[in-house]
Amino acid sequence: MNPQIILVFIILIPLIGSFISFIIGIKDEKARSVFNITMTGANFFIITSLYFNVMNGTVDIFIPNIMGTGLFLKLDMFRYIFVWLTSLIWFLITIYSTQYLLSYKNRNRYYLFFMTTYWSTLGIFLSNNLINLFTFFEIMSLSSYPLIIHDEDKYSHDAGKTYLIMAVSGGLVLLMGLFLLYDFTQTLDIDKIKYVIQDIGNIKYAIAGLIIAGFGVKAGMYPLHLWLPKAHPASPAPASAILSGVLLKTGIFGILVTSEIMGFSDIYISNTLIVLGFITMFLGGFLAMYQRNIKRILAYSSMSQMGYIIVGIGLMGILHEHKAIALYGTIYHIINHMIFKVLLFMSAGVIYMKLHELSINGIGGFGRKRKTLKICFFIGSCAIMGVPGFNGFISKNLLHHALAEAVHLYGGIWLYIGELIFVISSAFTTAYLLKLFIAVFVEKSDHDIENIKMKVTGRALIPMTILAAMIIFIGLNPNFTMNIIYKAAESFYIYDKIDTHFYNLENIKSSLLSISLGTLIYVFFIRRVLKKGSGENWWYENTALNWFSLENDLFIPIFTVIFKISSVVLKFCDVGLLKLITLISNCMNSLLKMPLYYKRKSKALFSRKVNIINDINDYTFEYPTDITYEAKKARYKMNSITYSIYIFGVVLVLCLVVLLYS
Amino acid sequence: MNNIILLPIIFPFLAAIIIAVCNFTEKRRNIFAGSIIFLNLIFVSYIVANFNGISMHVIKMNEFLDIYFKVDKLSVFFSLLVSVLWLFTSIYAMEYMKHEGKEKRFFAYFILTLGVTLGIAFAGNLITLYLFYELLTLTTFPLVIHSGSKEALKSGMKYLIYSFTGATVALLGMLILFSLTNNLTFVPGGVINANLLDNKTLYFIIYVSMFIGFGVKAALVPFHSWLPAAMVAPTPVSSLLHAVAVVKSGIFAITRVTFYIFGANAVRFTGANKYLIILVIISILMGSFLALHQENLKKRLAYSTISQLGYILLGILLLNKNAFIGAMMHLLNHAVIKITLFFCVGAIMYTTGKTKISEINGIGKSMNITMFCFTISSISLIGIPPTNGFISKWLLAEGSLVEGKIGFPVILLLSALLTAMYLFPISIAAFFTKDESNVLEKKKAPIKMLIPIVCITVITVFLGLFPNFVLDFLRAMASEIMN
Repeated sequence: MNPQIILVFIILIPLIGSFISFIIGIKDEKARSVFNITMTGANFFIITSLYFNVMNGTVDIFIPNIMGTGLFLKLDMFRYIFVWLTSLIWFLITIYSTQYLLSYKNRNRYYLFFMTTYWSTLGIFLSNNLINLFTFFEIMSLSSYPLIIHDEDKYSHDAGKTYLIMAVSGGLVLLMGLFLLYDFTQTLDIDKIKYVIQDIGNIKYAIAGLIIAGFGVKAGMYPLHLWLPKAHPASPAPASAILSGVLLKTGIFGILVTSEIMGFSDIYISNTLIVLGFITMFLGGFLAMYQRNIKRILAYSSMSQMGYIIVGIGLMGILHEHKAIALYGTIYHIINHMIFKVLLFMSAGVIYMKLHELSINGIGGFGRKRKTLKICFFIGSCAIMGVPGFNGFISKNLLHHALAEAVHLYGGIWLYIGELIFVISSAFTTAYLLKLFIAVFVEKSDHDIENIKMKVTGRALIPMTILAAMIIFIGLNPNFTMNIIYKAAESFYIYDKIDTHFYNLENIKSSLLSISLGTLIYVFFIRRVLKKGSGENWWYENTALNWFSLENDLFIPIFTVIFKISSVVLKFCDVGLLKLITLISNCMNSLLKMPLYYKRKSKALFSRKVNIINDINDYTFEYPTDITYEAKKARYKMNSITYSIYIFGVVLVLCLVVLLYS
Repeated sequence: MNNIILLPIIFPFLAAIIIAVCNFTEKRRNIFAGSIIFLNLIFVSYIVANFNGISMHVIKMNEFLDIYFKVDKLSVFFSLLVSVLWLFTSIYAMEYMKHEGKEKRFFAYFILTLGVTLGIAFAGNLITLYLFYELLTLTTFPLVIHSGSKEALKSGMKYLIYSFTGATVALLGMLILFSLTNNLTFVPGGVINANLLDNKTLYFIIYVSMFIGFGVKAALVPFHSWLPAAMVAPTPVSSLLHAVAVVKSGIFAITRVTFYIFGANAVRFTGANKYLIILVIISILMGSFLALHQENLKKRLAYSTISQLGYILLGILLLNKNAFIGAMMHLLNHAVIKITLFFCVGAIMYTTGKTKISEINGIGKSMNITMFCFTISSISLIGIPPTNGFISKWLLAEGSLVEGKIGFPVILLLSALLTAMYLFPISIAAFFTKDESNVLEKKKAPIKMLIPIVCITVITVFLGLFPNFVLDFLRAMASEIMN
């Protein structure tokens, strides 16, 4: 079949399939699961079959009239990496979900939104028009909300609220950027913007800021990361895996496209990205060490890893002609993070399936005898730490080289500090993963682990094994992946290749340096300070809970104040006119009803003076009078005067007539 | 053949009299009313398709008192919108009005109002428009006070006072204008010519008085408070008042005055738009903001209407093509979206008797189709693609950016955020919140209510995905009135 048509079908199959599966699911849940697995599997194979087409050149298709601008889809190698991994992960997680969700309610609803998120995510990666991209982005944002609050308890609703507000505001900020972009460039075609962007002057920074902030919310970039550590623990494990593995990447994809493909990157924007990336990286890693909930540790870890990627994107901007290495590192790390973070969240999900508990204070020592789980988790952890032989090692080294290149080119104290942060953050990574791994899988504890007898079958474990195998494969055969990335780099007009002997002494040394530093942090900080108790009776404390929180101590108070003030002002607009009219009418009324005492007095005086005989009637004048009453009386009197004049006039006319005709 | 233009206006009048006079059984009356409205839709489409551009003087006493009808692009647009939505509302009302009672009176005035609204749509000069505009107030008044309760009567009084005052102010502007131009016929591009230079202040006063006068019906702050008060009316009425007939007649009149009497350049020359835009901005922000505070679902939607009408007025006042297309597009979009939202809320009231947001937890389980349509429409009202609200928001923003005003898109987006904040909680409460008290009856909305709801939701999504045929029509209209 024509690859262009297939491109549309990649989105259409899950789009139609999501509704079909919903209808099937009302009748028969088992058939629905089979259908979903088949559908995602089929989609995965279709996408895989496109590989050679994409390797030979770009596939694109334009369908006019949809949404006024038309639907413009494009698939080059850079997008293909995202699309292929997304479809693979979705396929595996669908298999995993059928096992995981057994104890959950509302499964049908879950699958509907799960699949909606799927096709909209594919749409984001495929669309070559910013309007299309934004459309899919918003559909994805909204359809992942029901996944987050699936438990429908107070915590998940709280997390969902934060997520929804941030997702909607992020979308609107992004939209503002698109408004301005379209106004100044008159095009929304991602490939064309590059040629006009240099002519629009300083408004470029406003546009870039808005667009990157919009995508940054999804990417968990500091200070827009607030939803991330809340939403991940709240949702069911497959959904958190999706959030962390794929949804964060949509934000990254957006930033990457904005900065590099649309050509926004210059020294200021890139430097901002680097600074924010370093903060994200450091803060995520640092806070992850304090957490006790497995998923929250993993969530902060995702944030920290996003920091690496954002730094990579920033480095691409400042390295100019040497940016190849930064690009390779960035894309490589994106691929790796998609794989290992999904694996780790799946492992956390297995633990939750068994225990319905995620705090390491309650599940210590759970995994000591579970070999498959232990091995999978170990592989995933090693991959993030960047242990040689695992995939994270390659990408971290590439990024480190890119950073070293920048230090070499520009020097300066700030980049040295950056390099330091890079090493320290890697050490943090090691530290929090050691904490997690040792607490759950190694150390004995007296925790009362109530084993819910739920058999974890192959449907949950096989996807994890596949991902673990991929980690090892990519780690040991960097050239295989690099060849794909070389092709992907053509979208960025980069054609030079780099030396790919990753397993040399220097790289391994720098990797081991940060790992041993991390081990030291683990031994001397986490075990000494955060861990309490002794022997088998131990628990961890989270001292970070009482620290300054960006959300509770800054954002919420500011917005509350703004909200209160605007409430008062706008309430005034609402009822101001009515109040004013009521006020005036009340004033008039009370003015008219004001008793006219002087009148009464004078009247009394008058009647007493003139009407001496009628002294007894004096009191009849003693009632209070007011203008209304007087006006009534006056009107009555006026009426009689009018009548008399009228009668007088009639008589006069009659007389006249009589006189005339007599 | 020019007389045919009177048909869709006269026909409902006659039908209304028949309903009022004859004693139909319920079923027959429903069929009769439905077929009348459907027939009228056919008349309108027939006229629109075959007699575009015809005109007719019904009575011409002098230049001023001249009852004159004409079919042009704007009337085509408005009359089709009105006729289609009236049909859906009538299907909905057949079921809904069962629990309100006094259906005979309701349907008589309901159909009468259709004729009057079409009269507004086909009016060829300002005095005809004004006459039908006043008639509209009178025919909708019995609908507003339908329940006859004390609150309803009070709101009805408020509605009358506001509407008549507004119309009087507009009439004042009209009279002064006539004394200057001697011509109040609607001509694309305006009837005012070069003599504007001499009387800038006078024209300024005329435009402002007409804008504010007609703006009362378009719920312009601070003359909006009749609209939330009129919420006591039965749901089909409030949905029509809000979505189509009354408020949109106000907008329609303002469009006529701005582009067919004054013309964009003349308005720009008077500078009135700069001052009026402040009121519009306040409307947008105040409506969305105060909607957040409303517990009653219908009230929430009422305040939302105020803000959405602000969008349209903003588009008109920006006086350029993009903004005008955006405004007209939003007129259409807001009509279909808001009517669905009201229908859904009405369906909830009808089936469960709940009117507050705190009472509808978990209602999405039983009334899933209703709440699904509600959610789609909310998303559309916020302006999230791929629904139609996004298209109009995009055009309005582009229109303001063409004028070099970056502040307006920001306000539009701020209001969109507020819209999300007052609409999403309803959907969340309905679908994702457990119903602890279990007091909700597990009932579905009746099919006669669901049909209009689903149909209009389909239109909403369809307009979002394929807006081009409407956009092309509006572009043609825009280039006709602005060169």
